[in-house]
Amino acid sequence: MKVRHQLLLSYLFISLLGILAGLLGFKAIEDSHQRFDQVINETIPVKNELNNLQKSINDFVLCTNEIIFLKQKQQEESISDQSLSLAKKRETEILQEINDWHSDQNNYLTAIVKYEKLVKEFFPEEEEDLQNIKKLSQKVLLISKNLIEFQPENYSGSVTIHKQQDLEQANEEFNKIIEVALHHEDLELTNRTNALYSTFNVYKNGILSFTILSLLLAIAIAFLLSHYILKSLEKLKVTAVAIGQGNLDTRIEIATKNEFGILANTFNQMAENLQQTTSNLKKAEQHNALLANALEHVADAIEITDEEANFLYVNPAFTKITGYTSQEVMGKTPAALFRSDQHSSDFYEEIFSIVAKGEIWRGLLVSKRKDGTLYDQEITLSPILNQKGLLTNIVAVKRDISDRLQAELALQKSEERLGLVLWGSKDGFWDWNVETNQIYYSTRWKQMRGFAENEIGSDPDECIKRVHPDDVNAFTEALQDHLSHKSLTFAIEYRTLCKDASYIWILDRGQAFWDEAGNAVRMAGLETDITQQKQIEATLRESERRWRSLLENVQLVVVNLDRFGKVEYINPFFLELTGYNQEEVIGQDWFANFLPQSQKQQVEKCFLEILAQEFHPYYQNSILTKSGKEKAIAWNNTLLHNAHGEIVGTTSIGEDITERQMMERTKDEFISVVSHELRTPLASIQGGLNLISSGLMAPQSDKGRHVIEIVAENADRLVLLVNDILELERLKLGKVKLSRKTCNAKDLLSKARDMMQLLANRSKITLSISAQPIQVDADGDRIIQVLTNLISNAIKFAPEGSTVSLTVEHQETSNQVLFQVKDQGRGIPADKLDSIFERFQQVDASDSRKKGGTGLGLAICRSIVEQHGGQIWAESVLEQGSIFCFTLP
Amino acid sequence: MTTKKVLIVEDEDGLRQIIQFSLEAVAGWEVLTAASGREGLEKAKAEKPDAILLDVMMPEMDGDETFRHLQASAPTKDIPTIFLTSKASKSEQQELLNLGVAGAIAKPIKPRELVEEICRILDWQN
Repeated sequence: MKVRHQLLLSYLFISLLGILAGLLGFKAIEDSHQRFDQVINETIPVKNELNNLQKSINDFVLCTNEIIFLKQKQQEESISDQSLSLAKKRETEILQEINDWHSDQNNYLTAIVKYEKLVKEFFPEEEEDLQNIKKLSQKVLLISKNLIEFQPENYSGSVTIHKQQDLEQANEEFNKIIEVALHHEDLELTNRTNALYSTFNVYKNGILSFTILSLLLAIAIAFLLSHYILKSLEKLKVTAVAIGQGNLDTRIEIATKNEFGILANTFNQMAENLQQTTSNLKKAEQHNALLANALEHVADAIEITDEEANFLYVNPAFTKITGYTSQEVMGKTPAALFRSDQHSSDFYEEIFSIVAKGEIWRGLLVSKRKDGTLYDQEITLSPILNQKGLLTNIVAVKRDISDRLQAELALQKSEERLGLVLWGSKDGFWDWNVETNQIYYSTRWKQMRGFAENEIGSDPDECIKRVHPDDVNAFTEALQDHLSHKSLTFAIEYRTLCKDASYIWILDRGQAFWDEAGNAVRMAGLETDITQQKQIEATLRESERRWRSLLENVQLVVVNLDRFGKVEYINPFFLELTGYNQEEVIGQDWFANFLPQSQKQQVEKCFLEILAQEFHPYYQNSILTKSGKEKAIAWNNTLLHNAHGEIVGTTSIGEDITERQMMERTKDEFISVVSHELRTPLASIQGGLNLISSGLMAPQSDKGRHVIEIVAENADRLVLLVNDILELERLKLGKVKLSRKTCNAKDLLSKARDMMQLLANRSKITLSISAQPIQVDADGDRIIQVLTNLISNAIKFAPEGSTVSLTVEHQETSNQVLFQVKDQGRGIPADKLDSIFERFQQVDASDSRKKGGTGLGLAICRSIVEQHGGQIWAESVLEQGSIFCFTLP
Repeated sequence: MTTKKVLIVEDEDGLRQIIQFSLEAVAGWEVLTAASGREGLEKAKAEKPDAILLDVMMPEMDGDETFRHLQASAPTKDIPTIFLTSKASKSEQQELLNLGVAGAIAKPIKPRELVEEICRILDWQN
């Protein structure tokens, strides 16, 4: 909507509001006026009528009293004076009065009717007053009428007086009620007037509120409208100021189609035109400046002269080349300054005449500098002709070509140098013209691949087709990445095929050149033969792999510590041994975390001494596993050095000798036991024999015989012991060959029983057999040896009169034959059930002496059974007996 | 020179008797015997011998323990005690000596040498 329409609408609206307020006020005044009239019209007649009524009644009463008075007078006169005239006069007067009375009565009736009508019409609420007035007025009328018509003997008599009093009283009552009615009427008038006033107030407030509201609305509309207009104006102003300050890009953004929109568009258009003009102007200025600048900076000397060849302008290059400043040459001619005696004056004349004809002259001239030296220059003389074709100016472009000649020489030398460097470095060189897709490959490039100069063309495929199939993708990808600017330089290692069908490793590094559009136009690079390096790398990797493999798989602990005792490397064997994982070990303090408390200080001291090169190549200490167990490790230590030969830590290789140490301890203990077992009988034998042989004791004496008995007993025992030890060792070393054949288990049991029967009888022990004829594949003699051993043990520990039962049965579940020797002896404590099968491990150490036996029997039994592939064990209940069991497959 | 009273504590019956006969026959000492450590302690307390020959490897209470008990008891703590051992090596014998015994004699041994060794250890004139 256009602004003027908006304004018009607002004015209309505000005017409408004004008219509405006026109409409202007018209507209110009109309304009030009517109602006021109504009140006046209604109330005043009633009051009038009430006054008429009162007047007529009062007149009535007065009239009545006058009649009475006259009648009294008449009566008195008739008595005293008999004059007829007077009587007549009195009679007339009375009649006159009676007429008046009737006239009053009529007035009264008229008034009462009017009053009643008015009351019924306008004041129905005063019906009661009306009835009272009617009643009392009629009462007055009645009394009055009665009084008038009354004709007593004596008008001055008490009856008359009484009636008069009645009349007076009725009249008073009537007057009272009239007063009341008038009062009501006044009250009503007041009420109605008040009501009218309150209506007035309502109207007044309403009009006032409406007027204020309208005013506010008008102000709001005016404000919004002005705000809207001002906003647009502000935008215009801001933009105008911006443009005024030279910011020509500024535009107004008003999207509306009203006057502001049109104004803004026009404004924008103006700004656009201004900007365009300014920009054109600027461009022209820039262009001119560029031209001037170009002239100033161009490397060639530029001279502009008038048609007579007088200098008008020379550029700085001119000064540089010739040595003359601009001021020095102004107004002078080239002929006066530069002519050397190298050319004839005719030659110069000819040049000038050509140019004067409007043609361009190009050529070489030898000129003289300010300092008199000569130089070679290449000159172009261009004439400038006016519209009539007459020469106005000459533009000369002169180039000192002495430097160019030198540069060509220098370039030649530089290329020679580069060629030498490339040749010396043994690197190949390539230069690819992307546009023509031709590559120059250097001789060395070709030689690297084993080709002669003429065997390789200039096609890119000469390179690509020889790239190893595994490398070709990476090669082309790297090339494409570089050509498309994805990588700054091109560098790749690849294998290439040589003439002799072998592959060599090449490190290729190159750089592309791109045109303005970003297309690569040229690319050149160097190739280095890195085959040898690659081989060294591979050897190193292989070596590293081998060492790593060794460290990872060797059954030795390998640990590297840095100079502060922190773990740098740990091999899997350590982790396996200790139950730690790599993360829990690397970087941890070795001494604080992995050594038993008691050894920390000593080992750390040792470590510090190693670092100080007080060498401890070997030592032993324990380490702690994750679960807190100690493992004995025998260490080999070496120092680690960095590339500068500084000590950076240690490498230690350690062997877990825990088991070996334990075995050594066990062996020591065993030797000590064997030593005791052998020495004790030996001591008796040696001592006893020496007593006799030295003559200290007579062999025939009682003591002598006793000594010999002791010696003989101990000799037997020694023999048994030596036999058992040797037997056991032979079994252990596997020197006893089992001669296995199929035997009947029951027979084996019987044979063993027979062999032990004598011993059993001596100890009064019954041997019972419960056996099935089971076939077993075994060395019969050896099994009998086991059985007799077990039976003899049982007999030794069984009480007299008890039974030792021998059983053999086939076990279905394991498909094995189970032998059992059961006694009723003292039983074996649970903690000894396993150890009794060890050497010299009787339940009670004194048993070997008391019960005989070497303490090796069960160990021998175990060896035999295990050699058969069976198992042997004991079950026992203390004081009830033991069962020795073994199985054979 | 009064006759010495020597207590032999040895669990092996035969050897105990041989030693007893040897000492009696060679040196003429009064010899008391005990077949176990416990019996040895009782006899040592009761008889107050001049020296005790104590076997190291005995069941129940071995020589070490018996010696500790002897040392712990006032009446016996000053009686010189010699271990009879089948442990032959010097280092093993040194271990025993470290316990505080007067000396250690390795088995087997001839009667005269035994007496000489005891006298040497205890500095007795024979």
